[in-house]
Amino acid sequence: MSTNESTSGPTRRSVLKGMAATGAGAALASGFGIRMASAQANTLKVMSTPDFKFADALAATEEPEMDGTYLRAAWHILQNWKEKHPEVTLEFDEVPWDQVTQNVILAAQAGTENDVVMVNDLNIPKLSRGGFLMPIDQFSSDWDDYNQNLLRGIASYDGNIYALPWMTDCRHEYYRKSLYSAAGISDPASTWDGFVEQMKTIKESGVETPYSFFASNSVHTPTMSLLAPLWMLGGNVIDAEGRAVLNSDEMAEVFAFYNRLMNEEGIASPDLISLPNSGAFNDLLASSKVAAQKNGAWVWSALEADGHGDDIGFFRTPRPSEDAPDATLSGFWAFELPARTGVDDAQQELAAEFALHVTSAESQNLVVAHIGGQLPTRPSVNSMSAALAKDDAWRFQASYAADAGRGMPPAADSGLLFDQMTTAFQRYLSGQQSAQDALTAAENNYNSQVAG
Amino acid sequence: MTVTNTGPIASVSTARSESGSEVLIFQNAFWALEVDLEPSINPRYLKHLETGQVLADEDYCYHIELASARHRKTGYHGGEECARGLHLIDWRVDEDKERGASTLTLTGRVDFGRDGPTDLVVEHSFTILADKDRFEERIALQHRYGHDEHEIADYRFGFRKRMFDARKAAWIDHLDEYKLSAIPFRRRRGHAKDYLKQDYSAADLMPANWIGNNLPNRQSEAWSWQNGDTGFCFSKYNQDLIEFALVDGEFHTPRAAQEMDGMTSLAAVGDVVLRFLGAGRTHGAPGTPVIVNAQTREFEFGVSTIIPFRGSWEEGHRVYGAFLRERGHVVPKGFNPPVHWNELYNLGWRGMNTPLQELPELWEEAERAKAMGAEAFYFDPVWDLFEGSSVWDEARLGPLPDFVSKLKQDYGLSLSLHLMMHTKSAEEDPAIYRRGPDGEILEWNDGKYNGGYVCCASPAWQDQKSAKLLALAEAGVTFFMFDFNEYSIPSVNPGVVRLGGCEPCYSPDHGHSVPATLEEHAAGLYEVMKRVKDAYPDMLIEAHDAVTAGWQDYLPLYFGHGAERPAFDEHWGFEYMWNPYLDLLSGKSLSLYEYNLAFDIPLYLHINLRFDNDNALAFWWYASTCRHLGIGGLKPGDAIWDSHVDAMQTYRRLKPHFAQGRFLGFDPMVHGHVLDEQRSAAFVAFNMSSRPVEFARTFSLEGSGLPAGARFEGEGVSVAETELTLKASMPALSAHVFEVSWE
Repeated sequence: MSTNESTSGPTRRSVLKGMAATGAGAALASGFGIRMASAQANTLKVMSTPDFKFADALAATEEPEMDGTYLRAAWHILQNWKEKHPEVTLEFDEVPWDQVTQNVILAAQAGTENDVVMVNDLNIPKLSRGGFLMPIDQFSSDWDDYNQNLLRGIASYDGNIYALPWMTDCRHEYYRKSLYSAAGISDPASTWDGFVEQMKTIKESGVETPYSFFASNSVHTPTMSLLAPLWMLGGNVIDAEGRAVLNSDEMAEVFAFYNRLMNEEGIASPDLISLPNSGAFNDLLASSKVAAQKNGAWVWSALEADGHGDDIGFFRTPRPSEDAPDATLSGFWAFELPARTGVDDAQQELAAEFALHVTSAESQNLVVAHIGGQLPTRPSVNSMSAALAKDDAWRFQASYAADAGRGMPPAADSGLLFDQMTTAFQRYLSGQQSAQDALTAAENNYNSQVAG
Repeated sequence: MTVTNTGPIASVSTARSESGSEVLIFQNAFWALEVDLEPSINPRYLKHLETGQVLADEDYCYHIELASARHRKTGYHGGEECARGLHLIDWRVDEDKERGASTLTLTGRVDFGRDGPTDLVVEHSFTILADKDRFEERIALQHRYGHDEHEIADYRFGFRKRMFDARKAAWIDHLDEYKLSAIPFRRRRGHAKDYLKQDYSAADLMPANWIGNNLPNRQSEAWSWQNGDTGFCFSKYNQDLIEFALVDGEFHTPRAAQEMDGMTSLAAVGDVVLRFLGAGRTHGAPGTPVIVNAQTREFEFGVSTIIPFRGSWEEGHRVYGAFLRERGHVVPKGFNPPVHWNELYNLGWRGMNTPLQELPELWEEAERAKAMGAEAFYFDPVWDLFEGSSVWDEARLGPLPDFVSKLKQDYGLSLSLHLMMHTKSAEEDPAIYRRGPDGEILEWNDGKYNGGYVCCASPAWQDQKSAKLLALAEAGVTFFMFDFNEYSIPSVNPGVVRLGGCEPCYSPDHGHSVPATLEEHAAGLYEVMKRVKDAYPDMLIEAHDAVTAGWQDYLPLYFGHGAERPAFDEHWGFEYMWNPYLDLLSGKSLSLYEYNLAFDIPLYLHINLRFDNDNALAFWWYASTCRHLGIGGLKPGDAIWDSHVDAMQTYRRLKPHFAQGRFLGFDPMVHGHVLDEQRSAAFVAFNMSSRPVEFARTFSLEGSGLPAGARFEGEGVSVAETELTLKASMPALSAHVFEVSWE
């Protein structure tokens, strides 16, 4: 049921609205029967990755300088925690980011689980379905101030929440204002047709291949080029039973759109398929070889640092039609509680409280304040102090992520799925196979190996 | 009080209860609703302000059970889970000035307990109107985000009204004087288990009463609950899903009582409460599984409505009738159906006892129809190649256009046809048949028939059946009866007729759910009707109900009926066709009176006059309760032939009153049929006793729609002030028709 205002226009009005009490206090004092953590649990072991600098922050006796890393933000977050729980000793077990899943599984087998772990979005399905994580719904009722697509998407399984999303990102279009202007275009288009027409105009103005999208052997090819437009069309790549659904009408339409850009209109170069790495891709925009490029929110800081900030604008990824929804992929790291036996309630509650503390709006506000390029997973942060001090690019990205950010597809083996999608895409764009054949093969390859 | 706001239609305010929790109050001149927002959403208090009647004063029932993991391939695997309540996400009030409606919407997350899922949301709305004394309720289950799927195995939402206070051992507010009645049928033959109840007392509603059942143990599209003075109609309306209004009694131990020393929910049996409105699964309805997932996102139940009234159960029927008329369920404009003569009563059902009818005996029957004054020749089975084929048996009966032409020219009759959906052949196009789980055609083999059940949700069946019917229409047929369309129900239903051997369709090739749902089956059937109507808007279509082919226990009577793209014009008269006289004397067909109090959708019924008496009692009963009448079974020379010819002449002269007129039910034995624009009416009185009576009844004109103060004319009719008196000498077991007009 939609709101009346949106269905009947000015004859209806919203008289009054109200909400459940929210905020840190309400989070734990809910109707879910939560008790505040007991002071008896006095050591908390957390597995994190070095990138987030928690161990360094814990060791720092003074406020660190802003150095472009998480250090200063982590220090503030931990300081706040210590104020609340001076009796608790924190221990951080730092594991390289690509070993966290294996670490969680091995620890479970050895009975040496940490109290809290950090696992990235792609690995949540494997661990939650495998029984390595515990549902955390019971520890809060304050679930509505999370990006629901992330929380209820890949962070959930079987209707339960298994991960607390922390900071996130998004993918969107960048463009060279000068090249657009030279072609007589003031505002970027918002639909596929309008975008193609603008690209053709820019091509006619002298930019040989004005657009670039990921089509190479990169995780960004499926995650950046394919997923968002697929979602805009109402499609998906994993069904409710965990099987890949790649040979769909919606995916074929996405493929056809890129074929139009690359092979029919000559707007994008076929060389995109063989680009060696992200650096080469990023350089296309930085060197003004293309007028527009789809890329991650994280490249903005580098573009700005290299002096391109004034000439580069940004816009939301064009949609198939005006009435199609916005969509952008938002990746994230999250905090989880390992599934354990023999752990008393107080210890579990302390662990949950720590995870909720780090992912709280207040802590996310600290991250936003002390490191660039990080977007919150809690929409309320967008109206907090740090966000209000950010530049236009950050606010654009944060708004896009909050409005339209969606999590990774809940595939049991994301790597295999993405490889299959990339292969199908490349075979189609290079004319080796029809979209249907390429996607059927990709779908079968995945399902035969993973979904059974 | 912390917040107040008074809009033009309703006011809303929040306050703190004595215990400190937040309470929301939503009200206008007619209704006041109070909702606890803490610790969970609880619309626990509802008062009708005009009468002062408190309709709810106990915890709202939010019962939601998830399907067990045993039955699920995906979704929640944690075992059966039952909701404990709703935790508030937000609430809002919206006003629709165009409709004059103000709606309070509560959004809450379902609490399934410590380990239960947390991604199921309920949107619960209540609407009150500026100029109409009604209260509406809507409920939607939502799975707003994420990829998981939940099937709701069982659910029950509903207000609770305390009727009996267990602690005081006393009825509350004399609610023992209230009676609950189903609308439109209080008691009728369609129920496989008849509890011999026209209505249900408070004692009847006590759970686990001595009868061993929790009455009423049946479904109905609406109910009245009244004490003869104050009453409330509880209805459910849904054109997308088959749903019914549910009312029942239950023991309920208030939370306060549960918390008292030595008083557990087991020890204290609890108050007796009336549970009503909301939504619930019952007797196979809805036929569609209640599932929310990433594709559907929302499952919305139909609108429940409370309509207050003054008076007894009849008034409850009337206000529900007004509610239905607002939704377009009215007599078709200019409705003038031909009086049918059904050949079956004289010629027999030859499909079961060959030889089949031949032309000479058919023309002889047409001659009888003409002599009786009928307007159409109704061909029951068998006129087609085989029953269900819907292909005119030209070899036996000659070309259809010739048959139609001769009927018209020689007898002044049009042609009406009975249709079977299921077919006596299992060798038609394989794509039209219903398939079992093993993929085999589901055989129609009930001892009388050997053939195949068709799948009405199959596009192939719809295309082929439509083409056949359009060919018949092209040749001049002007009426179709859609019969033999039974569909399986998903569970055993003790309160209603059972369908032996009828299974759903499991074909994966038909494009429907597997198995096909009741709603898909019904929609497929209606689609064929609509295609006929699209091409032949004047074609008169009678629809046996889509599930039990005539008993109408599984579908609300408004379901599928609509004006935008009409499917059917008439309902079947509930099978009172075989011995209509005894059906009347036994009281069974009195249900037709109840139908007419609420419904304007015409009934079609043909009756076997062979069993009528010389006073044409049955003839007039069915003429007065079925807007489209069919007759048959008599021959010239029969003892009661002449009296029925006379009755037919009177009926034909007054027919617009019976077909189109506004029905007035003064009581079950006195009916009125009013043509307001023509300023005339026909009243029919019935004497069901074995003694002659001097009939004299006086009725108030108030509420009848008849103009007070007008000068009424008619034999046996007199008017004084605002009262109408009818007088007649009536033989035993007879009917009397009064013709009335006014200036």
